[in-house]
Amino acid sequence: MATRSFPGTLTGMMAAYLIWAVHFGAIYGFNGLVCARGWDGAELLGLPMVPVVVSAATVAALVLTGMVLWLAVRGGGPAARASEDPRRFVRWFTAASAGAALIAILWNGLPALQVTPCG
Amino acid sequence: MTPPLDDRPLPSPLPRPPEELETLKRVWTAPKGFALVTAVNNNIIGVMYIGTGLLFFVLAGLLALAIRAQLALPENDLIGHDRFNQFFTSHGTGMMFLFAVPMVEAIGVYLLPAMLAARDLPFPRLSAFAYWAYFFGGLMFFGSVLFNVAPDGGWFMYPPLTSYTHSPGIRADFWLLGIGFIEISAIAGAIEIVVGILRTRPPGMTLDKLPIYCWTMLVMAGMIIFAFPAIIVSTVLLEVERAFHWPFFIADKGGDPLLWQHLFWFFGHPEVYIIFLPAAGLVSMMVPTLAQHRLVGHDWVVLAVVGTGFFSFGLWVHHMFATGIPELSLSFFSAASMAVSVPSGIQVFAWIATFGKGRVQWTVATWFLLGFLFIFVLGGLTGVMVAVVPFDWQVHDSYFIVAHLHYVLIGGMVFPMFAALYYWWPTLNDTLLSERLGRWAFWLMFVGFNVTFFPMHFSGLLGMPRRVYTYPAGLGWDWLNLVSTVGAFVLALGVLVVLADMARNALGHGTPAPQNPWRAGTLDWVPNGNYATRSIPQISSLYPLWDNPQLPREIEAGGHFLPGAPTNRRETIVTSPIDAKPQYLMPMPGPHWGPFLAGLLTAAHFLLLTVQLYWLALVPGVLAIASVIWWVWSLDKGADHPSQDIGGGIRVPVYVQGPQNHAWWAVVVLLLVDGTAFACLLFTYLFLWTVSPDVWPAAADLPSLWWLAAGLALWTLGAAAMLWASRSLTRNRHWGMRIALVLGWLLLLAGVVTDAVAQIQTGLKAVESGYAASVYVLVAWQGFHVAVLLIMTGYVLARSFCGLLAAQRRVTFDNTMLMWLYTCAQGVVALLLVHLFPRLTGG
Repeated sequence: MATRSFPGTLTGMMAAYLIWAVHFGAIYGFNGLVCARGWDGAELLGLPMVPVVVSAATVAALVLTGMVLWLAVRGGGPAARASEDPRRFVRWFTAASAGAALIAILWNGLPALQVTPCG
Repeated sequence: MTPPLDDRPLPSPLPRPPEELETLKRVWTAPKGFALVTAVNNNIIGVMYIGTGLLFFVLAGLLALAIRAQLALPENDLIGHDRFNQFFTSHGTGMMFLFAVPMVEAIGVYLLPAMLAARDLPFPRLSAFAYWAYFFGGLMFFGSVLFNVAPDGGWFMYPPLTSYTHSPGIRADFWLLGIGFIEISAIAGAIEIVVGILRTRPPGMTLDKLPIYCWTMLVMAGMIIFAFPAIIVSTVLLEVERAFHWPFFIADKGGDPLLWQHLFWFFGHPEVYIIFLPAAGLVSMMVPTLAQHRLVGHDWVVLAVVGTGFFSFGLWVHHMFATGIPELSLSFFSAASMAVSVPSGIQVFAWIATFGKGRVQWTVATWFLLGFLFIFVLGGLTGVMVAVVPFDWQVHDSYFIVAHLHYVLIGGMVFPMFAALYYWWPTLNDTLLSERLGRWAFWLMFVGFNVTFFPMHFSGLLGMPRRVYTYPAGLGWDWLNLVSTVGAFVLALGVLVVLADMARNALGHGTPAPQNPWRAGTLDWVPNGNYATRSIPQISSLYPLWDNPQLPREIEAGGHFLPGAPTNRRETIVTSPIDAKPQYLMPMPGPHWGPFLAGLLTAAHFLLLTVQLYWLALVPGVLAIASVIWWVWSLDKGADHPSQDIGGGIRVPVYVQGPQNHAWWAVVVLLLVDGTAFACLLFTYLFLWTVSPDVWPAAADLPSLWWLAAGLALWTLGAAAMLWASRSLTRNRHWGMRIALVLGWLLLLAGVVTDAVAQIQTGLKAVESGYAASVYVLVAWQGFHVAVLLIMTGYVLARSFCGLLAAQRRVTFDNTMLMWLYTCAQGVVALLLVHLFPRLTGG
């Protein structure tokens, strides 16, 4: 069986890194806007808004990346669409990049719990 | 005596008819004499490209020597501050834009087809054009130094220093227009590399068997696609500000100089990895050979390379730690800057482990690789140091940074390049460079480099700022600078020894090299000629020459795929992107004057723009476009031959249309570039709104929503007209297609005019505010696309009237259709932003 849809396979393989990129851009853009508008004292559900929003975005990104990892480990995702020869590699790459992205997303999200947003 | 080949079945039965090789040689013959400038073969263009890169390396290096001579002693006035400013700007610009990036692409042009056993890269004339544009553009840039009009605002050209108030005259324009257009050449190279690696691999070379160098080049090209548009957009914005006073970067009018820094470094930091990753790829090819051991952790290295490509886009603000950006925002970038060292570390450990597990051949290349490891690791460590925000604040814009960036760039790219020069030289002329001279060169360069740049860490920590043309005595900087200057000349001597070695070899004093002298396992060491390898092998492992030692002989005997030129012209096999299964036989263009003339005329066009002869600049501009049309006219040949037998019982067509076609892929890649540039313009609008909401209009001052409706209708109808044209062509209704194209283009023109008039009738003037400038630049960008589509549509119509377009021969049409539909979508997004965003945010 030949691999179907190159764009689909490529996107699947890169999904975890793409989630990292979206998460990174979103939390940076959000914090920049908050500081430019002077909203850093705002609260959400009684808690400081910036750490709450950044942490929520981080958890959402971690969950999505975890799903990519889970799919890859089970043999689903882009590997399920690949032909015999590159299947092992596609599966391994998808899973390993998801593992790397999990750490990177967590690493990027943690400062929100430690650093003043607009100091 | 050579033993006979094993009697194993091969895709093409042996022996081959003798006329087959003769035909192959004939169709791939390269032009000679002055006509060499028309050559498009990658082994010729690649060598010229590498040679030009080395020339610019030497020129930028000479400027560095002048800089070091000026700084050798305190209160020195050897070249004076004005020339010093021009020299350090031209040195940095030349090294980054005219040496490092073009050189890694040049090496790719030379090596990739060999590693992929392809006959050439898929768009040889595009490669040739990219080279000539680079060659003439680079000469033009360095020429500005001779005429005392070189740019002097530093290689990153920060406004407001470089805008019209503080940098009148044409110096900054040489940078903006010269470098801006050379980036076009880099993007052309990236398109070539992406399509080449994904579509011209040998059968069986599935994604998991792709050589690591190809992975790094693929990632590099992907990074160029998403990073370079930012520098193109920023140079356009600054040039427009300089020429027409549209205030993108003027804070008083709602612009912001930090906008430049964001756009520049969104390109500038990935640029470091655009330079480093291909060099790391070369290292990952050389280390296994020199250690005679497979690369340890191959898959991990691939993961690291791709990860580096992504993470490098999360680092740009670490060049802006001292600009007053909020603390948490800095922390995000600080964290990412530390994280990116992990994938680089994975590669370093993989190389060390491979050396450790193998039996090392101690050649000049090995020494340069060890030098690279030492220097690059030191540069990486100081990189982690400056990723720490408080430390960066202490050393920002000091000589510590100068030391760090040279450790990373010279260690990470220049040392691997010299290793590669010694390693792959035998593929050029079957001789070896001198081991003795090479070792002298290595030690001179290694010692010279460290003597030059290591003391700069201390001069930086002692407070010496970068870019000062002199300094007073007694600050503790004197002897450190003197030592650095001595080191720079020792380093230069090492480079001179390499050049002498190359000259000696070129004059016929090289030692004859055995075939595959370092006993490598990859396809780049299969004997080849202008036609590349005699036949295209079936691949079943990462190191095919180690797993099947008789493979080179099988290939040379013509036992694998496409042992001849069945359609009696240049051609190569196109395979599927993941499985590498043969799909069709792609005809490849031969020598032509078009790329050379287009490169020359494009350079002339930009030079005339730079010296402000705007009307005269139109002449070479139009002629350059004509040259391109001349060269592409013969490319879309249609199915002019029946399906061909390429061996192994496989018959493939000579023409395919739609998403399988390589030109479709190229246009899609181009549109990714285009889309990224558009995203940078959207970012410009949103960034300026973030920092200066006061210049954004109230809803009552915006054009009425009827203008939005009219614009949306026109862009939608324009897209519909193209779809109608496509449908007509599918049914071979030529007049229907022609009418739809003309009507459609008029609708697009009406769309742009409507968008512009909508803003003009409110009294909005682009020079008034950052808001107005960011709105009008979106309109202008759309207008540029419609102008491009005018040329493309005219071209399609011309081919239609000449009978070169039909339902069965529509690749040209499809390329135009992709650009057209993209333009319509872009127009809709721009309209929605400009009309609805201020209303939704309360204006």
